[in-house]
Amino acid sequence: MSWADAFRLAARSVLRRPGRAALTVVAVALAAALFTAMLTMAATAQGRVLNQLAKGGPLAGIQVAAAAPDPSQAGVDDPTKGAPKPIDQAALDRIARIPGVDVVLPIVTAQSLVAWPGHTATGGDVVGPNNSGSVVFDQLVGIDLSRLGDFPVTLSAGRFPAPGSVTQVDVTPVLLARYGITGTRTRSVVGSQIILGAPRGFRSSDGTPVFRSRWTKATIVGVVTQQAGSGGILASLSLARASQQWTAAGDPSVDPDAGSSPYAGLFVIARGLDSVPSVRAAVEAVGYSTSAPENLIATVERYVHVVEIVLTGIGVIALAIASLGITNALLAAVRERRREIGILKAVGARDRDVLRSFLIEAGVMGALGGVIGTVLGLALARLVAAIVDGYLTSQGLAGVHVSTPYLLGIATVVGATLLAVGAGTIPARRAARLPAREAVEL
Amino acid sequence: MGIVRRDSPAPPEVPSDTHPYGVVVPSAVQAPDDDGLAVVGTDLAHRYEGPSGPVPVLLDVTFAVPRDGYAALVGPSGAGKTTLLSLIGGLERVQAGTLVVGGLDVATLEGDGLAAYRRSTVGFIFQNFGLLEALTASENVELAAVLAGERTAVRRRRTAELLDAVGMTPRADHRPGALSGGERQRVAIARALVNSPRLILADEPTGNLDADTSEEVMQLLESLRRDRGCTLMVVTHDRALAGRAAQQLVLDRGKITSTPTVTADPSVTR
Repeated sequence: MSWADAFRLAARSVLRRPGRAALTVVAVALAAALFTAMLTMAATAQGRVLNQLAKGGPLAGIQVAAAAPDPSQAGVDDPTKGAPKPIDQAALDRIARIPGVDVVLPIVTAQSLVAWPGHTATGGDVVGPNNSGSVVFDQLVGIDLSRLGDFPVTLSAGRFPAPGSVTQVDVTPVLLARYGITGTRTRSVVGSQIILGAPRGFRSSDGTPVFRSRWTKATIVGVVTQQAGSGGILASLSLARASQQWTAAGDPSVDPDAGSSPYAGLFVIARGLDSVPSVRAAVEAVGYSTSAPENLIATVERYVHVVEIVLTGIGVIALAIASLGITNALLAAVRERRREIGILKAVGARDRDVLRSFLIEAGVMGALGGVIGTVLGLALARLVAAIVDGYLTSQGLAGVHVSTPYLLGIATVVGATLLAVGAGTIPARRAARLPAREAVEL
Repeated sequence: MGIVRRDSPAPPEVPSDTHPYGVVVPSAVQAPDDDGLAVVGTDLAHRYEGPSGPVPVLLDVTFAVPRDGYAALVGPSGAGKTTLLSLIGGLERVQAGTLVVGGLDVATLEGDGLAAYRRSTVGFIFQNFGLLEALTASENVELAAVLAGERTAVRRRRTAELLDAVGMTPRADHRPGALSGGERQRVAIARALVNSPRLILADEPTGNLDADTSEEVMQLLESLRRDRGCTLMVVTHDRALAGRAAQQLVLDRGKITSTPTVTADPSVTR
């Protein structure tokens, strides 16, 4: 009997008793759904936790500060910094050549005055241009907006500014809080116009220190939380550099911050988590302080792995229980179908034909249950993720994103099928050993 | 296929007019043709394991059915008729004695060889029809050919021909549950013939049928046997049905007890 014929015979036998087959398939499906849902949620939670630890950036990201390292803080994730030390292009190039470094991304910060027509900030007592309301001092943080995925930046409303744009910015909840805008109200600022001023210090003819600002209008296109630099405004490198250069051209005796480091910091991405310690050591040898949550990530990953092992074990136990159901169902089927098996033998079926037929029955139920369970499990994981996402975003936090774990789905279906075939082995062998005389026994 | 053939045994030594059990065995039966499908049993014995020990069912049964013969195994319930038929059909292993079917020593067969014998040499018809409820009439007929590994086109053609021969073409797509007893037995007959066996064994083929249907089924069975030139052995407790056969083997309490009568059957097609 060919495999195709064996499949047809097995399928007919399964469909002959649809109720029992359905119950068996449901048992496998529930177990597979539990397995898939738990592992998907575990992977999603792991991604969310690690993303939170990395603050939206890559796990192998290292922040380099424009400061010397503190020798007493070696090996610490977020060490205190030493004396300020400018980062210039030569230092950037030197760091980029360190083995294990994948890419070096510059961070430029610039002092900025912020005037927001129609809004009053607490502590702001300087009148803005054209009586545009009170003005606050803050920092403009400029990054390469075409590499947003590589920075510790998380969007909570709106969108990011277009790469290279000098008229679009994002603001942080910290800046908005100064205007009394908190919680879900932060979403309402998207689309607002603000006026940014780059200050420059100079001395008047009588030597009096004076500040003047170059004002530019910008549109708030999003709200972000960012750890790239200490500042409440996220903008393009172009805008930040222009502001910095304007300020840097001022009189340093009036504004000591003029002429500071061209780069406020660097964001270095190592080739992998394993390279982070060596890259950090090399950057500190160059003379700059670094910070990266490597120890915290490693600890969290260990705990998450333990959780994954436990959840996997629970899922496997559930599948094993479902497999016992298959064994029980098939043993009952063998008892009920003794005469039918005898007839098969009487018309010429070999022992292995009967064995194969029963194994296929078991495998079909396992595969069907695995497929249904995988789909159900993924749907359940997405439902839970949607609920969690809604809660997190309502709290002004970044949400969660559930990926589609194709490999997990395939593994679940294959695993359920193999378990079912294994569970069907004893009943199948018992059926194969039944004698042909069963066909004539009353 | 693993079928074990050995040199044909010498025909049982049976005097021309006497027999150890007092049975007259005419010479037409004495020397079965080893190239054909005669059935010769010698000193066959069989027992089942009962709760209080072995229970003998057959005791030193010796008989011979010629090629293309038509024999009836008749006797009261419990006489051992079905057991003897099961031995001949390979449903039971031979425990003692010899059983030669068409020159093949059935006792030496086992495993795949025995399955092949059941598949290709014998066509078995059961009292309870023996159809699989999960399959249609057509699929039941085709099953034996499927097990024989026949190509799909060949087995479907053969199935269609047989269903037509037994008058079941209009009901080919019905499951056994939707067929009457007579219709089911027709399908069972068609299945028994799908692999062109040389020996047909029918265990009480009319046991569950009314008189009219029984007559139809027996006429069908006998006509197919004549057309194909098979050897036919029928188990029955019905003396009238047994009388239709050219040869009667009477069993009682595991022994052949009565004189077999053999009539020449000029209608056999060779």
